[in-house]
Amino acid sequence: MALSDLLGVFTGLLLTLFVFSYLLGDNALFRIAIHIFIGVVTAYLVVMICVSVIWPQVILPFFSGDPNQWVVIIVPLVMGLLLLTKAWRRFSGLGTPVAAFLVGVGAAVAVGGAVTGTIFPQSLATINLFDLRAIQAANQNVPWEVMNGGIVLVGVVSSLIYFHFGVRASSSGVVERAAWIEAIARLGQVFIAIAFGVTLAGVYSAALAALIERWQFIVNLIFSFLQP
Amino acid sequence: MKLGIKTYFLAALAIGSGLIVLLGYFVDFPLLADLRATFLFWTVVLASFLLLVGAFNLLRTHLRKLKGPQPAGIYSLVLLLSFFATLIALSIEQFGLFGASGWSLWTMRYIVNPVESSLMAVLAVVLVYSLARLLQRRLDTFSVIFLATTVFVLIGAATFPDLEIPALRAARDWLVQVPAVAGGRGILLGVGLGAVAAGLRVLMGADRPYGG
Repeated sequence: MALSDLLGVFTGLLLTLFVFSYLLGDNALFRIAIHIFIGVVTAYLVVMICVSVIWPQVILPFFSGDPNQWVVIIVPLVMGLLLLTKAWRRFSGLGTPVAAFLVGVGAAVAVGGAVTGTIFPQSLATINLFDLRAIQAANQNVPWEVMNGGIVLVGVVSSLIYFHFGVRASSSGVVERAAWIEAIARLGQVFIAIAFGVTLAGVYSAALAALIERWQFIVNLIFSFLQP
Repeated sequence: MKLGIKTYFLAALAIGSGLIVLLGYFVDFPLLADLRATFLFWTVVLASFLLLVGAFNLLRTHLRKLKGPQPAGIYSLVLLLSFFATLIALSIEQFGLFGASGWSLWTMRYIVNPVESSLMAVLAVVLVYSLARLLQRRLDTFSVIFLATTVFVLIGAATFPDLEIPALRAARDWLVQVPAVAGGRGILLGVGLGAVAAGLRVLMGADRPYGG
């Protein structure tokens, strides 16, 4: 094993033990590991941004590209430099128009992405559960699949209604949701609880796999040094 | 409330750029498509600059903490040292100076990966503790359904030697593929509709989170 790898294995072991020390409560070793991690990841991110985006997309074309492309490149470069002024309160106003541009484009991407990437595909997937031809073509049990489709439809609608927070004041002056919305929302809450339960089971499985991997790493390392 | 000319200018900038990108999604027109691609390219570059601003702010905060009361300053010193050591090492490697290589891989393999998977591993214990506290503090129908689903899915996914119960596996698959999908889809659609509402408020100038 090369010296750098040996050093690396011990660094990994130390950091693993430091993080595991959190199980005894928040302590200095855990905080040191986390601060090292944040420092390293931030530096990694900074270098990757410079090497993968700013250097090849903005700086290099400016020096080696054709002058016609300069307009496309110089605008984000100037806007980027203006955005950097956001770090100083005195000059931060210079970066506000750039922030407005970013917010506008971001809002448009969010709307476009939500419509084309979530609302349409998810609605279509729910509708397609009742496609009898597709169910028959897949040699599936039609009544069973239609019943499942019905459950999914009821679950989707009731989960959506759970997030409806429109309220109205009743004659007694109490502000609350309509009784029928409240009843459907309770059904939706059951579906949401099941969805979160399944998600938690997935996260827990992944966490357990990570725990086993780390434990195996420590045990293997100790045995590799104990064996002659 | 009286709005100044600066507010109108900023709102016009946000609405104009947003509408061009949004129309580029739904209208098949070459000029719009080109403008949309150019704006998205600029946004990617600007997002990179924003990350640089974020990193700079992080460093400035920890430099300030360094002068503050200890021991918080020691943690900040650790962060700054690890930041600059990694920055120098990776810059030397990425720009091909002194023939250095493999440093980014070393950093990933021996610092980032161990800490990430250890944090994930700690989560396995912390989650059990949190679930026990949930049962202790808020024992209602929905927390029982939530916990019962988690336990059932975990048991259904486990393989026990000489103990295979097909009905258990089938029930687990049904739970994951039907009610859980329904709840998850409802949440996704809710998030999507929320994103559309928030985005449209910005594009109509009702919300101006950029200031002005």
